[in-house]
Amino acid sequence: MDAKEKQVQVRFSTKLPPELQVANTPFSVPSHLTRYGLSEVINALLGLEKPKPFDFIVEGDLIRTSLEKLLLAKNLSAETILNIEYTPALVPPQLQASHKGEDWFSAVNGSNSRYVFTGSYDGIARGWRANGQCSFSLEGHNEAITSVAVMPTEDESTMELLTASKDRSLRFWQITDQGLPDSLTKRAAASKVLKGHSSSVQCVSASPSGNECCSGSWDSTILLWHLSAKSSIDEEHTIIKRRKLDDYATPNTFEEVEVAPRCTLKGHTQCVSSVEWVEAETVFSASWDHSLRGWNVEAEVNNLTISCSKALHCLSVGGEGSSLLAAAGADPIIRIWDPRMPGTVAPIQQLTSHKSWISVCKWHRRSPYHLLSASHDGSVKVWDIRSKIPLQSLEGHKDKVMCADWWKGDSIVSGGADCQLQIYSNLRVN
Amino acid sequence: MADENEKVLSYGDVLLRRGDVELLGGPYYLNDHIIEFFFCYLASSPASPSDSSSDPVLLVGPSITFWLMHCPDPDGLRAAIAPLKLRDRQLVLFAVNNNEDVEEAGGGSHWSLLAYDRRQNVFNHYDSMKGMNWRHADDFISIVKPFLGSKASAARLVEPSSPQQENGYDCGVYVMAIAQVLWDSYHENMEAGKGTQLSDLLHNQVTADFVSRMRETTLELIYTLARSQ
Repeated sequence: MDAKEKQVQVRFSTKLPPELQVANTPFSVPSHLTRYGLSEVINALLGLEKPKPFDFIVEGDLIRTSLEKLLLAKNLSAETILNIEYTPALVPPQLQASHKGEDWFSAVNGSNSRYVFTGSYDGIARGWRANGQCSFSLEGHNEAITSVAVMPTEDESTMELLTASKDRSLRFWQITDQGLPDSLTKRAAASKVLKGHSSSVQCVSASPSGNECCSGSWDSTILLWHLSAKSSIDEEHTIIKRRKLDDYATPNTFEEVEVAPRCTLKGHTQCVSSVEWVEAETVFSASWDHSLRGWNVEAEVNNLTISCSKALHCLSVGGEGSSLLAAAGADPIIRIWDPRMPGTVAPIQQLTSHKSWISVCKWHRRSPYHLLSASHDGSVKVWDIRSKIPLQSLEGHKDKVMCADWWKGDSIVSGGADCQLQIYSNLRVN
Repeated sequence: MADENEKVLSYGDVLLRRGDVELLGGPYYLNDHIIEFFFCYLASSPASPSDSSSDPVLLVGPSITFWLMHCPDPDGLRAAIAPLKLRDRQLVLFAVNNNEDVEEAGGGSHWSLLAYDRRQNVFNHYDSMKGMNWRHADDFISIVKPFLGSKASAARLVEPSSPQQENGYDCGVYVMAIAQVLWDSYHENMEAGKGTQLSDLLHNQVTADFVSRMRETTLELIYTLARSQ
């Protein structure tokens, strides 16, 4: 038996278009084959001129060992026919652009397809083009920016940004495209300053409707803010004072409006490190107090609390049914919970590979399987939750990675304590 | 035995034959013609403006939804989608089917209702077999999103609590019933429908009993319209 190579019967299937499908009949392949070997088999069967790397899924898991070990791990008989689905493999992303700044990059947001928005320890928010060139900067905060959110707008030529800062305030910026010649670095003034937190603001998230936002702070509270452009009775109450500001960059006079919160959500006992406004009525939050909480913002009640053994620094809602909670923090593990299961306590999945604390985890905006994470170990990792090990590890930073996000589908933007902003492209997740 | 190709009713662009209408009578899965007819009927109800192209609510029936989902070329897609004026609508309802075979018209085995609500900027997917059509709805959203305006690019797909069917053949009736409740509630109450209120309303109105009666009332409706022609 040993002299002859062990064989496994496999049947391939795929959701790819007909030109990338192989016959549905079972094949015998050597059992020592790994992902690479199987990919060669598919390439040979398809007779592709230009080789295309594939990934393989068996019973919901990506193949990361030899078939022999896989059969043992899954307790399958070598006599059975193994059904294997193949999908295009994620190719290593390319570093498209990087920019060395003066200060730490502490916040990045990739939800606008034209610009990457960042926040730095110098208190300035900036908009960047795909080539790594800074298009505009927004000055106003007196201390480091901790978080940047993009408000959904109906008008494509207007961008609305929210920044959170250690100066205990948030700022709301409206930027119109006319004011943004590509070659020129422009300044704009905040149209609203959101005051109400008694300590550093750590995170901000915009409501899907584009009228409101929520923020979390070291003062342990979450504040909700009305930002509707139309002046309403509600807004009359929340505007404390208006004052005229002379903007030194343009002859125009800007009006800076102070806004007070419309409501306070109390429950966390330590720094609220991350918030996400998911649906009209639902906000999720993560805190250093080791808990994840869900809030109904209409009723202003905390309707879900999940405890974790570690302080949490980041949270992302996504995955299957847009309803899985991924969170991480003061240890190297990303944990995923499914709050749809009643009495959720234990995570349904844990992802380990980082060597230090995790600063960011973020679901892909389209794919229910892909997730990125960034860590104080200097790396950004890309995960497919069907596999226990990361698909990619991007090691471009020379210090802690403080922020990262998906951009334009399959690009990744990240910033860190090495003062670098990096843009990786071409992941081809879907 | 009646000829199942016999024409029963011609309503708007929809032609109902004996075979389509009989599906309503028994415990059968509804085909695209019946749902198309019902959407057409809802859209012509007195609540909507006389000019349907300016109605803030749009019902997109099975045939257009299917075409948008499987349209092979971008130009064809743009041509099909432009007349819908999606950017001007506050609420758009799509009848989603799980048919993946473009060759087989009327294929597929499950209907669900996808609603884009601009007021909340969210895609609500009402599936009477929760989770069943999620992937189809998700794929469909990636196709229509660019045509719904820039705010919609931030809209998520969610599955609110939806009435659930208790058998294997009523999905199409649920789609019609839920569409009717959403349509009525929008026209009766123009302010932003909050998710929980809407979902209470759906559970109260769209019961198993209501759904089985809806088969009868729709059947009567078709015959009444046929007689008046």
